Amino acid sequence: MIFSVKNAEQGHDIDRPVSIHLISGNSVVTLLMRIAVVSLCILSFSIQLLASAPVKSQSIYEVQVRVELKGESLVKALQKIEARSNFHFMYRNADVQDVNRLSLSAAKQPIAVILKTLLSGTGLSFRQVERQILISRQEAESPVKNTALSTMYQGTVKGQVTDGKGVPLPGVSVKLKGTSTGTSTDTQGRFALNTADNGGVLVFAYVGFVSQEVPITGAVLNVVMKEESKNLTEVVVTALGIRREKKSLTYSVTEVGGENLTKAREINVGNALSGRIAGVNATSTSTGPAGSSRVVIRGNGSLNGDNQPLYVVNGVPINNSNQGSAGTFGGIDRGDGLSSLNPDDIETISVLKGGTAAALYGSRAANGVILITTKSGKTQKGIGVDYNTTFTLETPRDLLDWQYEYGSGSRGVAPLTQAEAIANGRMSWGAKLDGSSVIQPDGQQHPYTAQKDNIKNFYDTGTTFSNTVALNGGTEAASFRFSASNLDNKGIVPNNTLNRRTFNLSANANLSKKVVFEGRAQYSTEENKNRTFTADFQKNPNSGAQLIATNIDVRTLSPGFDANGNEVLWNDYIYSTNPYFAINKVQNGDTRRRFIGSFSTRYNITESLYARARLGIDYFNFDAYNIEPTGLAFNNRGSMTTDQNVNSETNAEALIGYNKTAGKFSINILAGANQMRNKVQGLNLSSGQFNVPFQYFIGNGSAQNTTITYREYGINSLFASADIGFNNYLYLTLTGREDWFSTLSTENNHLFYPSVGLSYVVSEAWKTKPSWMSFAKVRGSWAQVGGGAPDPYGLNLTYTAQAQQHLGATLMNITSTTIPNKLTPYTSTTSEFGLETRMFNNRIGADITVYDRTTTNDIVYASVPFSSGYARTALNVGKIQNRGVELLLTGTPVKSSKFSWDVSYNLAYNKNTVKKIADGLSSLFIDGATTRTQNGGIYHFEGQPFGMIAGNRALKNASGQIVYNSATGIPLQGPLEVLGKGVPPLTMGINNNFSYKDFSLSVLIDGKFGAQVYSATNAYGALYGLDKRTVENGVRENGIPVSGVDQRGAPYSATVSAQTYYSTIWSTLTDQFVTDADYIKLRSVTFGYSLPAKLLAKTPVQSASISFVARNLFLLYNSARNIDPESSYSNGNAQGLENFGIPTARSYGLNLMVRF
Amino acid sequence: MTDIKRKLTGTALPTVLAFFILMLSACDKGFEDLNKNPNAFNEPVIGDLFATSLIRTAGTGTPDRNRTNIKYFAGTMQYMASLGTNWSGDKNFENGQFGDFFETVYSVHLKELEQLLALTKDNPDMANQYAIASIWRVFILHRVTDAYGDVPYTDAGKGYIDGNYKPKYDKQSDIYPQMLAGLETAIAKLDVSKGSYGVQDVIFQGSVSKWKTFGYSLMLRLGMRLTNVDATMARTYVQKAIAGGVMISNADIAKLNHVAGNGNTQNWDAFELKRESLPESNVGKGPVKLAKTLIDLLQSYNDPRLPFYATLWEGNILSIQAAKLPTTTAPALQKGLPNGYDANSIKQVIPNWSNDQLVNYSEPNTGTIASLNAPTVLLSYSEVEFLLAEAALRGWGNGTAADHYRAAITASMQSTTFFPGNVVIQQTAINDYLTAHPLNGATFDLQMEQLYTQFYLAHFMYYDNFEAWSTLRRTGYPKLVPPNYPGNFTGGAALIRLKYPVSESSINKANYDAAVAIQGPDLYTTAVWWDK
Repeated sequence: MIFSVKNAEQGHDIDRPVSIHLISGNSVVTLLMRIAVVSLCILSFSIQLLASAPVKSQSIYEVQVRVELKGESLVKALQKIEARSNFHFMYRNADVQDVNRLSLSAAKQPIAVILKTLLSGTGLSFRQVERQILISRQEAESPVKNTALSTMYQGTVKGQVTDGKGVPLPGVSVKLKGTSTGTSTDTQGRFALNTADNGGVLVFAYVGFVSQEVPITGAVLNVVMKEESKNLTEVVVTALGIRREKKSLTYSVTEVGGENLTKAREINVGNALSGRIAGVNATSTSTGPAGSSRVVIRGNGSLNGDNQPLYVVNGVPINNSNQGSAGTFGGIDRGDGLSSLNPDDIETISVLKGGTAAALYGSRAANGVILITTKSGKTQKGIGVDYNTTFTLETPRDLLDWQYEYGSGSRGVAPLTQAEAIANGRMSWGAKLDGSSVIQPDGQQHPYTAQKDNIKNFYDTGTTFSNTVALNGGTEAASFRFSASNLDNKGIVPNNTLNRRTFNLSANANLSKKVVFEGRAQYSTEENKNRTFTADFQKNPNSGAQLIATNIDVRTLSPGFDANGNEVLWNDYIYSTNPYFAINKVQNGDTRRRFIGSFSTRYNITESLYARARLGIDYFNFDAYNIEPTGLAFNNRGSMTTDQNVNSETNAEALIGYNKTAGKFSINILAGANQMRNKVQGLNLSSGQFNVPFQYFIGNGSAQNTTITYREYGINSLFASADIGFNNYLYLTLTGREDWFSTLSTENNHLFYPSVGLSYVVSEAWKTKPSWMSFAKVRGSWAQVGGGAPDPYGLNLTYTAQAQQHLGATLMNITSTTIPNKLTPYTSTTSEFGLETRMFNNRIGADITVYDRTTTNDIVYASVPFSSGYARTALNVGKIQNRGVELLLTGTPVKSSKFSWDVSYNLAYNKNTVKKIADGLSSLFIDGATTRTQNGGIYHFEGQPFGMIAGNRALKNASGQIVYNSATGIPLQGPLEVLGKGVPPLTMGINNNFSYKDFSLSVLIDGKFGAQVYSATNAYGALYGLDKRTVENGVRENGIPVSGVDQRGAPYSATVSAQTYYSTIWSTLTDQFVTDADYIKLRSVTFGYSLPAKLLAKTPVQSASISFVARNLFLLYNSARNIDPESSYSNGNAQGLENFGIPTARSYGLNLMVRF
Repeated sequence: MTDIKRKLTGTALPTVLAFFILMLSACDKGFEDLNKNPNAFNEPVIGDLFATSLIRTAGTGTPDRNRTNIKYFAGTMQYMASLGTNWSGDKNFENGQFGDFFETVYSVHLKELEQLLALTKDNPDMANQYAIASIWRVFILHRVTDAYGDVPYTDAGKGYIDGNYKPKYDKQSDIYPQMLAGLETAIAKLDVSKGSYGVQDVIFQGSVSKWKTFGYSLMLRLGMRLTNVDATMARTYVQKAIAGGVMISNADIAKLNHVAGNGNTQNWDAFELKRESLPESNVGKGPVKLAKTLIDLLQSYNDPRLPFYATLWEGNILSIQAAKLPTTTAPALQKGLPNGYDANSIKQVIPNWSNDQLVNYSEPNTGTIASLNAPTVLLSYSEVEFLLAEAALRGWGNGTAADHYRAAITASMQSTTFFPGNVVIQQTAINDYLTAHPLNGATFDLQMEQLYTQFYLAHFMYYDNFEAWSTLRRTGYPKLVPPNYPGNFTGGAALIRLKYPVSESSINKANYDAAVAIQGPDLYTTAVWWDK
């Protein structure tokens, strides 16, 4: 039983005596909820009772029904078929209302045959999409040929059916029109059909393709099937994994097909979303290949929440939390949950933007939901094998453009001794580079010349080799897909590696006529070695490689340690680690073993009523170690930590659904319950001062410490939704969800989340619409969703006993630095309005959405002054508004049989305003988000957008003159003020797909505009005399002339030496190092060639393609200097701080896909 | 729609509901129990909170030792010097850590103590515990007001207890009277016949009478602090302290013992010195050394404590320490580094400088005062005697200044036995030293200079640079010439105050602004109230 699994998971004693007690206050709702929460139990039980009926097929060419008609209308006929099958018809009323007086014998026959008979001569055609059968007027470009032109033919017709790319299509239904004579194609797409009568027309039908009627003109008929234009019946995955016709949606959902992720791939799927979807701001971090990503949909809605969407994989919410990231004072990014996914396994990513689309997820939906559906097995003969391999090379992009005129030294003088050379290892304030022989930190004399290739010389060429094999197969009763993949990455930072293995199994079975089982399981292991320290100097190889004095070849610091294993110093600051010591001796690693499982059973109680139960499990083990080795300059005896944690989330969901079309109305309602339990158990061990040097295990340390973490919480939920359609052009959606939280105080622990939406398909309703209009729809919706459910155990002050005593005295401290408080999740209210249209046979399309998303009751972790004894308190007081517009333009400028060009352009503008922080609090510092130079940071200011860069400018007097310290000639520091936006308000992407015969080219360009970045690299560049501003305008030779007023207001002017000036203002004048962060990137390019079907005809290979793939090829525009504006070291809320990240890597290589 | 209704109310739904009810409790028990943390205490152990506050205030595991006691005040006091630019006190050069002491005092030293005070306040069975904790609160907070001036005192650390998120600042001129009166009240409540914290009192092992002595000794220290601003009050409390009973021997000293082993037991100053300033891997070329001011003075005075205080680097290599210390501590070999220079500018005072010469400069002796096993001395008997000498000089106390002066130096020299290294300064050596350096100044000022120059040399033993600095500011002795490093933040003047942390000026702005308006600009050169 499923529940014994779950209970074991939670460590509950399932034999404990049963007790029923109700939450006070709202007993009816509570009872209902509890009732619904347990429905999973019942369903799994019910299934056992009922799972016995014979296997049935699902194609309209196979399912046979008995329908007798006596002069009835088509509408009535369709209703009868619906009543006798699991299929559901979709049509425009206008198309079918005039078809009357139909008669049909009572013989049992396939639905397709019945429909052909009924629709013959009506100008209507039909098409099956899963359980739905669409009846529509044949398109103008319908491939119906004038039969009068056809030559009569008698005998056997043979041929092959292929798709537009020449790939043979197996299983295509081939029927002689108007008869029951028919066959289907074999695995090579071939068919042979005996046509007894004179000629006729063959009808080729296949799911996903436009049905074709082809007159028989000869003994051989090769047919190329056209894929169904997606625009017509696009079905998208919506909340709870329910597939719905896109036409009927009342809100914005965007889907990205897996094919966009597999060729020019990213290791972290989140990064692959960059530039693809209007309103989705995906940001990568400069922390290495397995680093985390930040995805924000429609702006940041919470001052302190993580602002990232809920990720749901096959119905299972997965943990995407960061396992550790770099802060101002360095660290490593241990990646997030998304990196566990293999892009090859992804069928689609469906982005539910904002509250209305995601409303059914209630308290977790505030930041939108990203639904990831993995591939499943397909009905086919035999076993299909897909093989996909990608090999790419990564090279660092060197954006540093330092000065190359002056070398190491100070005050214009080059070092004379090794000690001086070390003291000046990162000081480029020396003499003019003249090629003379000058001592360097290695004690050797080297020519005093500029070293411009330190980046190239220090970093490696990285490689990524990824292989996936997938097997799939199935009958109509059961299908499966199994994939295994291996990814090996060697980072551009030497000794940094990643191995990821994923195993994915998906199985579907129709256990009986009424019971459908679906199970998906993924097991993955990710093993990272030596993730790179970024930000700050400690153990960070990047800061050394990037800041080394102009004349020093970084390779002279190699190998970074001496004969005793001690770090070789190269500069005056022991925390600025020798880059080679950092890569050769500093060690860390982590392994994540993860299981994601989703098991769902659907029981069709009647044709219209069904019940579904689903259990989702995300379970992972994270094991990490971090070693400061013996000999590290600032911690000579070394230390280490190990972190182990076990994370699990289980969701048990049960729902009852009802689908029905009655007259002009179609309804789709469901009600259900969900029980979520989340648990983290962690063990952190640390030890330092190794007794025996160079041996790294906890037991070797003389100061050992153990920390145990444990947190468990749960949310119980009841939810319901209703979709009501009228006449195929008006749709109303209502949803509601009530969530109960274990972390809230029991007297008030539940919240309700409603949504309502309406869409009106103008093109369906407008009978006399102009011919150029293919489709038009308006939609509007409103929703209230939640986010940021409070952490467990936040209601009371607790105490922790220290593991280590003081000479026999036990020690106890207050556990948290946060003052406890009673909190509720914040509420995000979204209103959106959209307009969607396609014109000229779907050649041009536009989809525009405007929205307002206002967060109230935002949880503000307001920093409190330390003088209160604590660091922060949490209050439910914040308010943030996001207003924006999203635009998607699609077009097919060229469309011919050989050449086509599709282009899509997306643009989003989001205006974020922090409306309120807390009473008496007009600004809020984001915890830890200080600049490394400690003269500014990321703050929220009331009335300004989320996450502003703030710092100091030079102090000015009332008339705008700079105030100088007359003793030094350095400007005085002004007050803290806003210097820029950390989050870009404007994002866009343009995607071009070209195809010519068997070649295809896809180019994605994206850009972000309107934000700024504080660059610590540039601040340190100025401090150490590397930045170009330290040589421009002859400032080295002549000094920097300054003029303004002195502290007393008297006129003041002076000339200050450049070294004095910059080695002061680097940490006082923040604004000098804040630059625009606008960029346009050539994000991805794939150039592919599909081997023609003819070439493969005699091989077992069904299709094969080879592609050149590339990512991050060029920065087409970059408003920042020396850095990539995207090089943030953290995926947290504090965006807009840069500090010695790993250079962005250009990646290019080959991808091969073969299908057997 | 009726069709739907009929179906829903037909057979399917009641059947399902029946199952729901049957299985109700099996699937959802313990929901409300989830929110109890199985890994935390909901009620504290009072004594454990006290022990935590004691060891944190002594610097165990807190950032204020390295960042404030070492990197600021060891330099300011010219006990140590550095060629590195991040040693702020050596050069009065900004390193951004000026607020760490402030933040640590309130959020680490005081946090658990405030909770303890709230929980014991109205409990008559815990009157001693409450009184001792009240004395300790004064000890914690006097250091922060001495360093920053006007600071939160009344509202300090009340974020949870009173929900006070914005502590107001009290004027130092109000804090001192409150502290002194608070000490008086608390001491009066001590009942030596009743128990207190027992072994959790890691300073006096539960001795109530020792806390009484400590309370009066602290009153002596704080009373004497006011000599420049309120001599009347100073005299009142100095005399109250003396009458009440201050420390009378090294047995009364307030110290926290340490042993190497883990972060909660080792001497944290020593740990930080060995970690960052004097790592063995530097093999003597590290940029942090003992200062010329200190070494020159010890050498010229022929001070027997010199070998105890200082060694060449080889004496600090743990594996050879025992063998090397006898030779590397030879007084004649010791050499101090001048304050206020970097690796380049040191050439201005030491021509032909090369960093290789660093091996010839002395380091604090990690076999003794800077050992991981060294105790942290919070208030010494030696200091009490120096203060009594001053009191005698001022005519406020008993005995003669010269006697207290000799007792102070003797107590200091006899304290070496508290430290590792088995160094005993023989009484003959002490007597020789006392004979060579009598308190014989012709004027009050000259005697004060003698007194506090000796205090300077004695107090180095305890590596409590906070109190050394406060005494320097109050008395002006020893006369130190502040460094004038290019770009320094005092314009060549002495560092006489720390700036408030940035967190206060941004998060507690209104109270910060009010304090600055009263006290004067938030600068390193703005004197605190008693330092006039």
